[in-house]
Amino acid sequence: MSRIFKCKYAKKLNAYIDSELSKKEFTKIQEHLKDCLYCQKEIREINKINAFLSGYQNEDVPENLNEKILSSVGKHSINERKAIFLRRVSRLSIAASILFSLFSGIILSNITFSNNSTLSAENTEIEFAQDSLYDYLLVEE
Amino acid sequence: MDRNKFEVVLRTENKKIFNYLLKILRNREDAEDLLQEVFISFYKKMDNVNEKTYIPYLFRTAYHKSLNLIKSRKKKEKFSQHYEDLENIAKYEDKIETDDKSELIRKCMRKLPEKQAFILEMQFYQKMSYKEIAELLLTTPSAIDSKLVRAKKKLKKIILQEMKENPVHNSRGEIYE
Repeated sequence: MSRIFKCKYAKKLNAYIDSELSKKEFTKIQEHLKDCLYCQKEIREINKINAFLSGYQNEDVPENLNEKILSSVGKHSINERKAIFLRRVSRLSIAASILFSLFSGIILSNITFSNNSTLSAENTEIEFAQDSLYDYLLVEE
Repeated sequence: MDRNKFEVVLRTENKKIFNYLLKILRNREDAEDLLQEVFISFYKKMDNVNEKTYIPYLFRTAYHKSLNLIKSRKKKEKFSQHYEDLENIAKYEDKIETDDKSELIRKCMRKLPEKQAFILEMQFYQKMSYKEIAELLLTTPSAIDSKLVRAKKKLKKIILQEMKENPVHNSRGEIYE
């Protein structure tokens, strides 16, 4: 009985069957297969596995599953729209509060400025009155 | 987000993803739950995914989600006091379902390491090239080639084991005609 030795080309056989080799390599293996008993046996084994796997028949997806997915996605859309709306509202409210604080700052500073000028005028008047009184008292003396 | 476009993708690609999940997960309920998760997650990211890569994207999501589920299940089983009961239930489920040839293939595929099963699915069932799978998994075509060789060798062992445990498959010519 002749003994079959492991062949160095054996690792290329799967790619050979899957048509993943270059044309040159493919022809080389094709030629090699004519004489190599080991590779012939390996090819038969790979073909058996492939034939076994080919027996698989795809099952249909239960129709209610598609509907479930579509309704979840619909809910997601509604939630997302809500989230977008809330995000916009919060951004708007931040912008509004910044604007409000800016305007109120400006208004407050204007009020303070005008108050200060009124006060300083009043102070001048008081000082003037004090000076006049002082002058009058001095004259009286 | 374009809901109509999503519906088209869902109706055309759901079968492929569902059957991939059926091949690697232990039961239908898990496959159905994960299918929903995969498509909902896809819907959220759809705008950022190139239209040409919708299918690889869906498969990659399915792969990662199933991997997480399998890992968490293994962890739970490790600490579960009812581990033996669960195993017995699984064995019983296997026994009643193996009449179907497709179920037999699923049973064998489930015993492969997850990555090998994924590569085999992509190459054999989805007809993707080694280069495409390599791009998907960020590796080289030669690495995919050697992983496929290993996957088929392992699958052969699994099938032989199955034949030993359930000689009925062999006598009916379901394995190795």
